[in-house]
Amino acid sequence: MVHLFRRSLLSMIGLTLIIILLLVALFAPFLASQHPSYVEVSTEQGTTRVEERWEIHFDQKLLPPSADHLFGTDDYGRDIFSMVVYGSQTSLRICLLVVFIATIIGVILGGLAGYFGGALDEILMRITDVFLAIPYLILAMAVAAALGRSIDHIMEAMIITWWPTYARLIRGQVLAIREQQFVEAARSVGASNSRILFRHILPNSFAPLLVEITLDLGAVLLVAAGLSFIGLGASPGTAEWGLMISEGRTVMFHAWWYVTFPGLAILLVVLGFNLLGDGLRDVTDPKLRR
Amino acid sequence: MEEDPLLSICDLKTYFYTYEGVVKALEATSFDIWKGETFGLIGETGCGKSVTALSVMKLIPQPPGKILSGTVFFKGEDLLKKSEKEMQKIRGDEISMIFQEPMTALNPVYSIGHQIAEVILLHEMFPEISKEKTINPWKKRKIKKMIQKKAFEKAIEALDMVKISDPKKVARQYPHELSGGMRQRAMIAMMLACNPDLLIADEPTTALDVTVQAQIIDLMKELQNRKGTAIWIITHNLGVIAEMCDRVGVMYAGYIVEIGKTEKIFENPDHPYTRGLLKSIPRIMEEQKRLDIIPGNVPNLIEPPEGCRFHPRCRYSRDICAKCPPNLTVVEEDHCVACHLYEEVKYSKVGSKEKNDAGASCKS
Amino acid sequence: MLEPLVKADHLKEYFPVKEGLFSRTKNYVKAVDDVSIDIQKGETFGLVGESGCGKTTLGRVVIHLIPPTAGTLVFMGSNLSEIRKEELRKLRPHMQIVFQDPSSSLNPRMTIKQILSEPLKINKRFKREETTKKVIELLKTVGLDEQHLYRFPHEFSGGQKQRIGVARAIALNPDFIVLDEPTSSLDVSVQAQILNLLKDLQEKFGLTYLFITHDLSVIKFISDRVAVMYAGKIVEYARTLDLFRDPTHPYTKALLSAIPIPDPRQRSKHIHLKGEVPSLITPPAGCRFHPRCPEAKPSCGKEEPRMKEIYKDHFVACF
Repeated sequence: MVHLFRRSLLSMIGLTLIIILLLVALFAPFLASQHPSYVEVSTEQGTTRVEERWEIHFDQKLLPPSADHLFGTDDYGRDIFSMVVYGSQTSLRICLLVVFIATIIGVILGGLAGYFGGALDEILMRITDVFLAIPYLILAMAVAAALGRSIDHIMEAMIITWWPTYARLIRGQVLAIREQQFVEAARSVGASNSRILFRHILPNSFAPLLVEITLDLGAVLLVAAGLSFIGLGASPGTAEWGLMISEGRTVMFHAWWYVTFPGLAILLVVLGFNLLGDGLRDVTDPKLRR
Repeated sequence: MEEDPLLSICDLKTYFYTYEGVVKALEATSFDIWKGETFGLIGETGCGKSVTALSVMKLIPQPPGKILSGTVFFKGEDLLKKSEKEMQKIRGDEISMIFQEPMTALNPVYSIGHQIAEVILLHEMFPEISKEKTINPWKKRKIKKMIQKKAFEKAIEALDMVKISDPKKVARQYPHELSGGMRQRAMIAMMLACNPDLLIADEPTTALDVTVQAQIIDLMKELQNRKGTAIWIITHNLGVIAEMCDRVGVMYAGYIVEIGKTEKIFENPDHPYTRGLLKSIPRIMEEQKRLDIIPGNVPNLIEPPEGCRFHPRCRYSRDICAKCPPNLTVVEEDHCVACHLYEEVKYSKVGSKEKNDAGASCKS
Repeated sequence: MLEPLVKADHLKEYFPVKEGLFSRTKNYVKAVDDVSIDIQKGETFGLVGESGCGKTTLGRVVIHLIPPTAGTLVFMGSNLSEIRKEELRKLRPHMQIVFQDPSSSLNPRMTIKQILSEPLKINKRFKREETTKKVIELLKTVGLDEQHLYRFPHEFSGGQKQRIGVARAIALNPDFIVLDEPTSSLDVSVQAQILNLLKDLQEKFGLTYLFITHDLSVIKFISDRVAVMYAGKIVEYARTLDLFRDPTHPYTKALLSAIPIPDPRQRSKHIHLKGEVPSLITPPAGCRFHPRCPEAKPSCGKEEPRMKEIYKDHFVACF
């Protein structure tokens, strides 16, 4: 199956982009010329949180891309290349955590609902419906207003609104696989419910889930960037791609580099996840293979 | 009676280009079907019988499949040279095909009558109504509606012809409301509505219960008598072949290995594969303690055996069998075998229907 | 008369049909309606019928894969409906099942070794090292090889997959195996191989089979006794030779006449049945076959016929 993946050029491009992202995030301290420091700060609401702080060099503000500053500098003189590089860490953290936690919640609830059916299924599905109805934007705004704007808060908001999709997906898969003959066969040799669920049903449900997760990583990134863009996510001064685009808007016409490079980063990463997800879908779908 | 066959397939070669390799589905398939006769093509899964039918109808999906060479003469013209548009005129009107699973072959969101009428509308012009030429758009609509109504009536007639009770009611029903047997009858009605010269039936009764199967077989025989349609039936069920067919061809791994009149093949099967097949089926009329089996498995068509594709499983195989694929040889009148065992037995019978199959000469 | 291995009395299996806003049970699908059969040790009991007659359900009820709605089921002396769950679990290895479609009865993500070890592991039969040995032994018994251990189901042909299904069924040394259409999805030549294999295994291990199929020629080949099922009820059963020589019930006669005979000289006349297979939710009153029966009398619609012994060991439910 791997060889099929390798044959698709687009999937390989996607994989390459993601690998680049991972490497950049991992080796950020070595790639960047400027580095942030982390400071604990107390908020209006009375809690403390950690914020990024970058050194300010007003004399170097808004320099175009050059050998010293590959992507130029922003209006505080900070090296944009370094900020983009460190931003990859932030973005990766958001994507992975949100999707990972939402998946776990979704798989547990969806799996139980699908397997046992009956009243449990009804209750869990109605709970899922309630959460599905919550619009992420409104929730993010509410959370920001109540608890202050931070990346952690938008992650929490996104997890809450994201898990129902996975629950539904897994439930559908479990319902279909539950009726397959090999499940009946396992039951006929005496397998217990938990064994059937974990050893037989869930491993066979992962294929579409994997595709969905990969595509969602890109989607989550876009949402997080968007929330930061409108001021709900990252606090000002953090190197987060969406926030950078928002701050670059005012100087867009005479300092094009400020908006462009973070935007390009978002584009490439989301594209990478999408291509990867498409490639995975083509590889795992037996009908498309011939 | 030396007339030209209705359908003459010669050296048909169809390959499929897949991720895992090139599937050599058909290598040099050749046979003829005469007007008004019932021809059976028998073989097991993967031998290429459905591929042959789809190749003739030019319904092979072009990637990954490709018809590489050969000729398919139908009523004197080579179908493989025809354009898609020309083929569309022929399909449904001169050659029709019914498939194995009537549920998936019928569109679930249209009524039965609508679907049959659709086939009729594609090929019939209803000159008496459409000859009225007007530019008045309302009149045009009225004419169109009249044609549709006429087509629907013809659809009901077709349903009646296949012995569906209460055809008016059934015409308005949807596929899921009918049983398997009725759906298959509806398919037959659809495909015979335009009186084709050849009906291809790909495993028409495999998905049906045995009592329904018997009814469908009888129905097809009766319709053939009435309309003179030639039927090409594809199946793996030897009983169905024995009941329905005048002539039969046995296919194995993309080749025709034996072909001839049904009685002769069943009484004197010459090819080792045919013999093995006939011996391995449980028979109602006999006492059997064990069934004779053909050892081994059907070959992988991506890397088929060299020479005769059956030789690895054949108890009579000799050196030549691994080197060169055998040609069809005439063993008696109306009976040909593709096997090196019989190369020595060559008849040259003038007037035999299989004259074209002996050796490699074909209409080119 | 020896005590039968399996004795089923008045088995009923009704599936509720839920309709309405709150999924209230409005009606029942009477898949198995008052069926009584007994199967002797070492014999092959054939069950024939067309689609929708309930034979698949009956096969599952007989080994208590689905608990019956009513009726008693006695297996090896124990009444399965009355014993505790513990006892039932202990009896389970003695009754196994082979499924129809080998492609969906094997978990596509498990290797053959995992699939065959599973019954052994669950029932704690062997220590780990011995399990592999036993699995290889099983593979050899059904005609496969050690090299197939670490492959996945999709790498095998239909016939090979079905052999694996059979291997799984005999892994726990059962006494009784239900075979649900084991050869229906296989090619003719492969079918012959599997049928021979089943016969050999039966001799070797002293197995008792319940063989379910719609193919009458297969039933004739493999069964000692045959029961014909229609619309949830058994309409006729007898020793195989007797049933084929003297079919009594009109449905059996129609069924036998419909089999296409692979001999072009013998083109038999088919008995056509009018109408369709009845719905199991609202079956016809009286004899379930009477609306389609060519020999029906007006009294057939009034009451249900009882099973009568008309010849020795040959029972029919007809007036």
